[in-house]
Amino acid sequence: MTKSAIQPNPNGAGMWKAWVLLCLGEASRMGLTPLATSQLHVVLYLANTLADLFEVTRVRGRVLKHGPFPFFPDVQWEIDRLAFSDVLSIEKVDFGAKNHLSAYYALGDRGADIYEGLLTQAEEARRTARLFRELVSACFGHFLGSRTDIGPIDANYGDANVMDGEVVDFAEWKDENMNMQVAQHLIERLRKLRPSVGRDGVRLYCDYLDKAMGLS
Amino acid sequence: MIAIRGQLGGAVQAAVDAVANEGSAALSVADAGTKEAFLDAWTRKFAAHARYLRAKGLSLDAPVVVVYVNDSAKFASGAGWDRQPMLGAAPTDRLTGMFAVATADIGGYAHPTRFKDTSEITDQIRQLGLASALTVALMSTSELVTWPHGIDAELSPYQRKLDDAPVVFNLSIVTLALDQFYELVARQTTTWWLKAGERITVPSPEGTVQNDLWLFLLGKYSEIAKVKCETRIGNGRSDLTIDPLVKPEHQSAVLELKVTRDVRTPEVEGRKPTTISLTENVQWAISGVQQTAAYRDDEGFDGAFLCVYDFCASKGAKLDTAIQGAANKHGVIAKRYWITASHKEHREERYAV
Repeated sequence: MTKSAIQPNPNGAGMWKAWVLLCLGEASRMGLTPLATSQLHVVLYLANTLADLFEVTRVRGRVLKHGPFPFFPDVQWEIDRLAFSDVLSIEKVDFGAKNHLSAYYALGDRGADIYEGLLTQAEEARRTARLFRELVSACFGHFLGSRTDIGPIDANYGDANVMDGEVVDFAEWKDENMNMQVAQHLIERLRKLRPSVGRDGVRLYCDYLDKAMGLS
Repeated sequence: MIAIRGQLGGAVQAAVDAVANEGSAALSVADAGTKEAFLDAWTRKFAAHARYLRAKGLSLDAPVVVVYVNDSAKFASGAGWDRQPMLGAAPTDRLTGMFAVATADIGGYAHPTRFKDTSEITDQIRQLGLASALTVALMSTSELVTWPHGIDAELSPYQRKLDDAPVVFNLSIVTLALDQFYELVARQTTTWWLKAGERITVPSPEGTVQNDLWLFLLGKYSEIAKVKCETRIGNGRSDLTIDPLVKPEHQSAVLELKVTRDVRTPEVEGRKPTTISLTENVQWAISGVQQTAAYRDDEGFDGAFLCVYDFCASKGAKLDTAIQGAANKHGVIAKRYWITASHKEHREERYAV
């Protein structure tokens, strides 16, 4: 719902729509929908940074650093299209400062059918759904119910070497994805307890965000 | 904020270290949204709530019940239930009399009515068709009850006393738990037999036993240990692993489960089942000694168990001798549990005249 001059990027639009549906479908199953705009973007961003843990192909490996949480203006455009075509439903809208709107999204009837269809048809969709299942569970189990301002403490987005207004690129080189580096570092530190690399990687990174917020 | 950043991009080093030092509690036992993850989480949450009430000198006026459903929104939305995305987040929340459905370890839907006693909640569970769903109930500040297959299942519920006494988790505790599981679940069970009279088990008896034991251990020890199933170790998978959260006063264990039986379950109903010889059963059971000993040594577990669930009609003396001999050689704790097929067998073994 945020007004943006950025036009939608046709590349990956279909994948983004699928990811939005899978994210909201998994959140709905757990009784966590509707998700606020900021919550949805934070989960989508984290899913892109941690996709390797579930052998999922990320949709995008970069985000513009601007504001307290990662936000994809062109994806918001797609989300709103889905909402206006009844694939998603908007449960309520908050009117914030400077006419900033924040909508709360859930699956619409058509969206629920498409979500089910995605899970039935594609292995990649099932892996992606697993990633979102772990992410929404871990995020809401920690910080995301009350705070979405992960920007300053997220390992990629909060990197002081990337200035506000610049692009955070976490995909060109594997070792530049600092969220994955943190997750792998924690997995390694806890190796004696035999963590499950995929789901515990996600949970440990979310636990990190929660603890870092507590320090901020 | 004290933020030491560098090697890990914008990550706050103090928070990374805090997770590494305390993070064992955050580790999972199963995928989010599964029954096992639900059970692990909600038994811990209810135990924490009871501990909070005890510390405050408060009592629980009415039971708190949460039932697992595969899709909580699909089940509850539009039915007047109260969506509570933060349900279970804080042990200090007022939960008394609440009846909720949930899918994950946080969030869910609460029934609009606060109930006064178990009979009211039981009626509701039956009316809503949830009588065969995994159910966890905090009955008082000192009692937690789990119905792994629902309140109307033939299986007895798992009752657990809650108190503030320190628990040292060691191999003796594991042995005791295995024995309790046998008495509570395995003796005279009907859920593990397909045709008890013909000694035909369910098609995948090892998987069935393993799942029931996993749920039992999760409900019992979720606060002090991570009980995991089918953990990948080296080139294989262990059946169950128990990793206590705090070491070194606790001990970890790996459990290998084997089923011995007289006949294979026919793939097509009505076909004559294939007989399994004693020699085959012995070889199968003994292979578990090698597996569990290797897992223990490769991964540094404190103890290795072999649990043989013996569905054979014979009393298993030869099997016992064989597995104990192999187990002693490799320092494995071997237990054989005889699965009775009828009340008559149970009586004859326990009350011999």
